[in-house]
Amino acid sequence: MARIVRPMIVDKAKNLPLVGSRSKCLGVRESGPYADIDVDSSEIVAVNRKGLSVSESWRSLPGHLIPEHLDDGHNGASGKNMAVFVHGTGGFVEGQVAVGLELCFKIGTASAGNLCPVVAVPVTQYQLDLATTRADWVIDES
Amino acid sequence: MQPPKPTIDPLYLDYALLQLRRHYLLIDGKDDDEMEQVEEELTALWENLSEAQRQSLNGMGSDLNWIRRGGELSSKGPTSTDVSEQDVADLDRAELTRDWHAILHYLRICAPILLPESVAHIRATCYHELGLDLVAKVFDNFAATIPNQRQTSEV
Repeated sequence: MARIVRPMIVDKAKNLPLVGSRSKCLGVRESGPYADIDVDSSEIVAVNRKGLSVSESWRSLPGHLIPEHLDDGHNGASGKNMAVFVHGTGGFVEGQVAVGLELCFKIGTASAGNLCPVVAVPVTQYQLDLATTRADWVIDES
Repeated sequence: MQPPKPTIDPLYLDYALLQLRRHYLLIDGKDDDEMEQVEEELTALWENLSEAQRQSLNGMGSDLNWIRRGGELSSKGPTSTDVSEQDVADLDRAELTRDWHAILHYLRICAPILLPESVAHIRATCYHELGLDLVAKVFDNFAATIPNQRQTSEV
């Protein structure tokens, strides 16, 4: 199973990522100008490599996506109320990550990708599949 | 880490100005639709930046963080004991050759042994010389707010 990294807003009571459909949460934006996925008129998510953004390492991210407490004077870290969450072990390789979810690389890179639905499912199912992974994300800022 | 030699093109400038806009939103405590829009645009631009541009622009982000901390150093950054003679020599050489990106880079390393007003003035000069006057103004304005305690004590 791939090791994937995603800085997200922390639910401080549980030290787990905040589930939601806003940016920097564990969940995708379903509509609007910054939608993470394509959804058809039947509320089915398209299987087209779009999904929840993840990366191989937080160090390759723009400063606003890196938690501010990690600012080392060079990396511009300035994300508010965030922590770096890691899911899984091993390499950053395409394939299944959790039930109903697989890692697909973004175009032109093997160090950033999306957590996508394996098959076309209702958007509510996809959001539930993502939320179900919540307990498996751990804070790892190494 | 070597100093970056980024190309300052429209993409770089767009990112720099958006980053500056976000800096002001953070100062105002905004976490609204505009912040989301700015961050989404930053993320989209990031995909097309070169490694050197990314390093340079994240460095600028750390410089702006320093302003929002009131000139305090970052907890994960270098301390005065981390600054070597070589680092100081590298900064001096960059200043002599007027290599603005290198000055900014070595300043981030040497900042713990410099006065905040010096850091602010030098950063303002560098950003001005790089054609980023709006960013330079942030550091000029900050320098003006730092009481010059040395002059006060001399009087």
